[in-house]
Amino acid sequence: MGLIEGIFEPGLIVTSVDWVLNWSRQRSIFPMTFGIACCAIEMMAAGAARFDLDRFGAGAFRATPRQADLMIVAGTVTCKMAERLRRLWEQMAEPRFVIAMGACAISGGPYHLHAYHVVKGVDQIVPVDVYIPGCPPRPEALIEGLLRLQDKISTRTIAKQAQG
Amino acid sequence: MYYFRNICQAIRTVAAGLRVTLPYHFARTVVVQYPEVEPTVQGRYRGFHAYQIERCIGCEACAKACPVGCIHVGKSGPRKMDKSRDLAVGGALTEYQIDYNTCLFCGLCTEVCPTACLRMGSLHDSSCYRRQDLVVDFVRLAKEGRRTLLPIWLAKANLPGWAARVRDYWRNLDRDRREWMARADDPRYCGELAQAAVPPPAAPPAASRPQEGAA
Amino acid sequence: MNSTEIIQLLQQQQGPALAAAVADGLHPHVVVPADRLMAVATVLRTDWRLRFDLLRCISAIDWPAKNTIELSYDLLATARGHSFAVKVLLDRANPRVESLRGIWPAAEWHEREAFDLMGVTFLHHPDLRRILLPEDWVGHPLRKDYQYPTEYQGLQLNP
Ligand code: SF4
Ligand code: SF4
Repeated sequence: MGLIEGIFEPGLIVTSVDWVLNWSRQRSIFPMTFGIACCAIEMMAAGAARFDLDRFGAGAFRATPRQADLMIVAGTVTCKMAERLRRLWEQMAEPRFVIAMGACAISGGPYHLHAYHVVKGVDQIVPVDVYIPGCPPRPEALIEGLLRLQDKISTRTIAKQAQG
Repeated sequence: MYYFRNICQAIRTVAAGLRVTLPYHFARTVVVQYPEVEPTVQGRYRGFHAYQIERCIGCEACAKACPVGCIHVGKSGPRKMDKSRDLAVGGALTEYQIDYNTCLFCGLCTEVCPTACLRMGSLHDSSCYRRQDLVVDFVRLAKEGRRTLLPIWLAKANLPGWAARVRDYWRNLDRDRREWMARADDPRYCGELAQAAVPPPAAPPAASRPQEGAA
Repeated sequence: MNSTEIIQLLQQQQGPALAAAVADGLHPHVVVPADRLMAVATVLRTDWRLRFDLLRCISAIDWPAKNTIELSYDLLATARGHSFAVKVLLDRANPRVESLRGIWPAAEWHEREAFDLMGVTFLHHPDLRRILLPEDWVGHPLRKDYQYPTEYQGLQLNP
C-alpha cells in the first residue's frame, strides 16, 4: 500500500489517474538483486542480452532495497537469511512486490523434507505476489512471472476499497 | 629465464581460452522473443509432466521414487495393464496430484514408471498468485481432455497481423527443432522416448502439434 | 618423505604419545591423545624435515556406537610435497581439545565450524562462535542423534 492508496472516492478522474499510475509502475519495475542460490544464475540470464528483461522495463537490477520495487527471491532461504530478507523487504519503498522464484523459495524445494536449516516457503516471512515453479525456472518462466506481476499491478487502484 | 617463459605461457593459455570464447563475442545475440514466440526446447527437456491416465496403473512407483514426496495418487481399486489394448483397467483413479511447489523436475518419477504413462513434457512456465494453484490434479485435467497443463503463452496469442508476421519469422528460424519438440509431445512416440535409446524418427509426423494450430 | 618416515620421526620425538599409526592406505595418519595434540602439532609444523605449513581441513566425525567424536586434521607441506593427517578421539559427551589456531591460523574458522555443527569445544580459541548457523540456534546439527527442530523464531520448519 502506497501513501496515496485507498483515500479517494472512485470516479472518472481517479480511474484515469489509476491507469497512468499503473501503466508507469508496470513498465518500470526495478528488481533488487537478491540471488541467493542456483536460481540466481537463471535470473542473471534473464537479465542479460539473450532474454533481456529490459524489454519489459525490468532490466535495471538495483543493489539497494531503497531503489527497488520488486524482490525476486531466487534461491534457498536459510533460517539465518530469513531475518535479513525480512529486513531488506522492510527497507523497500512502497509499493513493493515479491516474486518467489524456484522451488526453494516457494516451499523449500529439495530441502522440503530433510533439512533443519531451510525456511519452508518464503511466504512465511514476506507476502509473495507471484510464485514461479521450477528448479530452476527457465528465464522464460521468470519473464512469464514478471508479466503476471504486471497484470497484478494493473489491477491496483488508489480509490477506496470495500472493507473486508 | 623463468620470467619470460611464464609470460609466454600466460599468453598461450589465454589465447587457447579465447579461441573458444572469442567467437561468441562477435556472434550476433539473438534475443528470445519470449511471450510472442514460445521457446524452443529439446526433446529431452524436463518440463511440466505429461500424464496419460488411460495407461496409468496407479502403482505409486512414482510417488515412492520422488525425492521430495510431491506426488499423491488415489485410486478406488487395483488397476492393471490390459496388454492387448495397451490400456489400464480396474478401479478408477480418483486423484493424481503433483505438487509443483516442491517438484524439482528431476525426472526420477518418469524413470520408474512401468507403463511409461508419465513423462516430462516440454512446458516450462506456470507461475501463479497462490501456492495452492500449483498443486495440479492430473485426473481433473484428464476429465477436461488434457494430458498436461495449458501453456500460458497461448493466452497471449491474439496478435495483430504485423506482429503475427514477426512472430512467424522468429518461429521459422528454428523450425527443425520445433518439429522435434512436437514429436516429444506426440503420444505415438512416447514409448520410444521412454526407452530413450531410440533415435528420433527421420520423417516428421503428419499431425502437427495441436497447440500450434490453436495459436 | 613418505608416511612411514614421518611416523618414525614422530615416534622418535614423541615416543609414548602416539596411540596408533597407519602408514599405508588412502589416509595415512596417527592417532594422538587429546592432551598431546599441541606437542605433536608443534613438531609437525616446526621440524625442518616435516614443515607442514598448510592445514587443509579439520573434519569432525561422530561415532555414537563408539561414543567418540573423531577429529581429523589433514596437513600438507607445500614445499616438501608430502601430506599427512593427525587424528584425535574425543569423548562424545564432553568433547574438548586445545585449539591449534596459534600453529595454523587457518584452524580458526575450521574449528568454529566443528564447534558449530558438531559441538566440539576448542580451548583457548580466540573467537569461538557459531560460523554457519544463527547465533541462537539450539544443538549441533551434524551429530547423529540430532533432533530436527520444528520451529525457529516462529518459522515452521516441518511442512
Ligand atoms: S529451486 Fe533448485 S535451482 Fe533454485 S535455488 Fe533451489 S535448488 Fe537451486
Ligand atoms: S520430477 Fe522429481 S520432484 Fe518432480 S514429481 Fe517427479 S520425482 Fe518428484
